[in-house]
Amino acid sequence: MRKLLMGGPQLLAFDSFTDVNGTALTAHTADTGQSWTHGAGTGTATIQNNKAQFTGVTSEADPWVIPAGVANVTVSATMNWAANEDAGLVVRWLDANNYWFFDGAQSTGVWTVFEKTAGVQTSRASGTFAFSLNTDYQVRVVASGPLMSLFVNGALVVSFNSANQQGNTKHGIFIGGAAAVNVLVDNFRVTTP
Amino acid sequence: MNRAQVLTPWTTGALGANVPRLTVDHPCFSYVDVTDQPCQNIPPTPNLFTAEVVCDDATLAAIEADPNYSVLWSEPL
Repeated sequence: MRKLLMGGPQLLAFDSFTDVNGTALTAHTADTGQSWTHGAGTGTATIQNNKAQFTGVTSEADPWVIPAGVANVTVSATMNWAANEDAGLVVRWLDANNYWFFDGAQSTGVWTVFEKTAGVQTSRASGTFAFSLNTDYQVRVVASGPLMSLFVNGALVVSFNSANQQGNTKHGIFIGGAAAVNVLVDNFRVTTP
Repeated sequence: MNRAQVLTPWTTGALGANVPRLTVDHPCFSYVDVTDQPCQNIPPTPNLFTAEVVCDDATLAAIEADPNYSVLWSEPL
């Protein structure tokens, strides 16, 4: 007997953020069973109207991550900026001192690839994609080997090649800056590339 | 638009991150660190690296006129 093997991306993690209003993200379980970890900082993340609502703190980077078990991934989410602040996606998280994040600054439309290695944070690349407040955007990072690329609404915004932090298998969401509500996130998804 | 490679020092930006000073003084449409220099080795030695930028004509002219930067090459896109 022959078996037909289907190709295509494999789902590794998914969260529709369906839960009781006010539930802390760290107390919430993703649809695929994983728990979220607040990797650093003192910002907050709670469930509101079946979305994750993130609130930041001035001059601070706050990542929340989820285990996917794989380093080569596509990470995506629907993101909606409620204030002129920074937010984006985290890929290849090891610990609070070692990871990558892709930061969209609403006030400038600049998206920056940041590397954090041994606690040192460095801007590696940036691109421009202007976006509006209170509007949903499909944000996606594809990390495959050394190449990492950020897409917004399907458009390539910035790419970067690096040999650093290639093997880390947690991924998630990043916020920076302070506002009553920074950003709303829905349908967070991690798949194989 | 133009593509150019420019020697720039690092500086400290938001969140305490190392950022290329060029993108602070002369905001560009995009930028890439072409060196992938290890984070741990950035300031103070060596505190200079090559950034590849995409920018408009006015920004490229401003960079070329700024003595803090050296344009290695540029080409129109």
